[in-house]
Amino acid sequence: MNQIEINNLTKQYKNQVTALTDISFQVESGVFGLLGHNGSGKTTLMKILATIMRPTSGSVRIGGYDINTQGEEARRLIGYLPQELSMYPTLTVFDFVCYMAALKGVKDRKKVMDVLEQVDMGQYAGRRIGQLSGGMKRRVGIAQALAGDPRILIVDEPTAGLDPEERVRFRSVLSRFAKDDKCVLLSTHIVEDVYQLCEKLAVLRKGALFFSGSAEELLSKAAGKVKIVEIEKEKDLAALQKKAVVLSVTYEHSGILARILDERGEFPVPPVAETLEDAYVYCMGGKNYE
Amino acid sequence: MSKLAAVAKYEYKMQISRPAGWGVLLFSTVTAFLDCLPTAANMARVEFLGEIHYYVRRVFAFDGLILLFGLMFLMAGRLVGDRKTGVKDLLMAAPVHKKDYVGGKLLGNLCYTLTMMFSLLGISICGYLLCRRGTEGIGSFLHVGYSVALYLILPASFFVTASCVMLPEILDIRFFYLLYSILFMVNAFSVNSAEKMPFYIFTQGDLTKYIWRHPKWPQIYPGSAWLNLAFLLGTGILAVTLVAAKRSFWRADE
Repeated sequence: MNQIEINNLTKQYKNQVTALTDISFQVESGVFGLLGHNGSGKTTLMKILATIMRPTSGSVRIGGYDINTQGEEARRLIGYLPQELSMYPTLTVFDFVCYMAALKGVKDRKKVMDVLEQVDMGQYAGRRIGQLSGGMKRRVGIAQALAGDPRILIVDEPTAGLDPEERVRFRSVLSRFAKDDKCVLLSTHIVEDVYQLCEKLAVLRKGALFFSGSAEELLSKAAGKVKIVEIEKEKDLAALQKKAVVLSVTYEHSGILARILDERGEFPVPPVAETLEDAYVYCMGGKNYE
Repeated sequence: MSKLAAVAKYEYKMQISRPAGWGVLLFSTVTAFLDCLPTAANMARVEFLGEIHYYVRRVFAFDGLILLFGLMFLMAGRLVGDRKTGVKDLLMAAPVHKKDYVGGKLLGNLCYTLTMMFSLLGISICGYLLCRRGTEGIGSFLHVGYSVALYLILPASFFVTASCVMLPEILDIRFFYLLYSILFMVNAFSVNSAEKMPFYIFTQGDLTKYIWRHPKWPQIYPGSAWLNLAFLLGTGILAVTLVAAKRSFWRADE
């Protein structure tokens, strides 16, 4: 069953900037990744899905409810964690999550403790938010999103700025949530998170949908084309960029190793195993090392 | 618990736990005691200090004003802050209506202001009792509590709370601080007058003459007092209405 359906969605701001152009895709149960550079329109899309912002045209259905006409019903199904969130520093962790839960109609304080336990914050329930580390604050953010037992979780860049341990912990929480026929829409620019968590994903580029499908389908775009070539001087890199998409560059004592995407088969070296990051960078048009 | 009550409850909880608010109350109390307690030195300096009604009105005319001025800074960023920190996005993504949010913020902050103002009233009356020179009965204390609450604390608290919470959402907050600092300054340097002065402001307006009147000028102008009340309540109501009517303030579907 489709948890989220987006059809021909366009968002144009009052200053005539078009943030999203004719986006259409569906999200089923499980963790769905939304990849894109900063400024690609991910946050605008997340705000529309969270019913905070209205689309200029097109339709969005959350759990079957049209957000334009049945926003109230749609809001009861979602938990939302925005990209930028500075919670009230004087409130305790427990009070803050109680507050957010009360706004979702949850009166049982035991349920609030349960969601704090889910994100390993039970032992810090009495601590003031201002005294928490960045990672702990993100965990409180996800706890408030989980309060009220939502069916759909919308999380915008949840792992940005977190250390590896916190990122792994975060991924576990999202993965655990999605296993009960629920859905997580994860917006990020960290390909590793999508690789670890998502079976399906969409890639946004300059406000347009560049790709939607499984991780394997995205990988197949770069299959057999990723090669590693060695160049001697930095200035050769510019010439290389004219012939192929340069995915990454490693500087070594012996020379410069460039990981490239050789679409036309111009480089007579055997291909190497492609990664999701290769495929994503390829989608985004490669990197500019000039 | 309704969502409006939930917003109000946690708003109050956040405000009441801020040490700065208690610091302002402590400062106001100290200045009130130094200036107004009916000690022999103060009695020699200020006429009528031995009358409980004059004493309380004097406390609120200046020290109550200091308290309100401090609270202004603690309340002015409450809506703007939620927008800047992303908390408003959380609230808009939850099934919460604009009226719950605006009403809850107003109610929570109003309860906070009233807590502080009534604390000052209670402490100042206790101070008076300790240095008491007069022979007032319990009826006088009840009357002074009732009249100060009705004619001064309630309208002034509503005026300051509604303005401070709501107007920075409409005006640039720096302009708001400037405007209201001038207003407080004018009020602080205003001297009690026998003339009609309906818009002359919150702790010195004609309304407060119902608490205590100078024996030489016992005249009260009811029309002027009503206008004073209308100014205080009207400004507060206007501030709330402006935010409620602002289309870009909340989700587009409300």
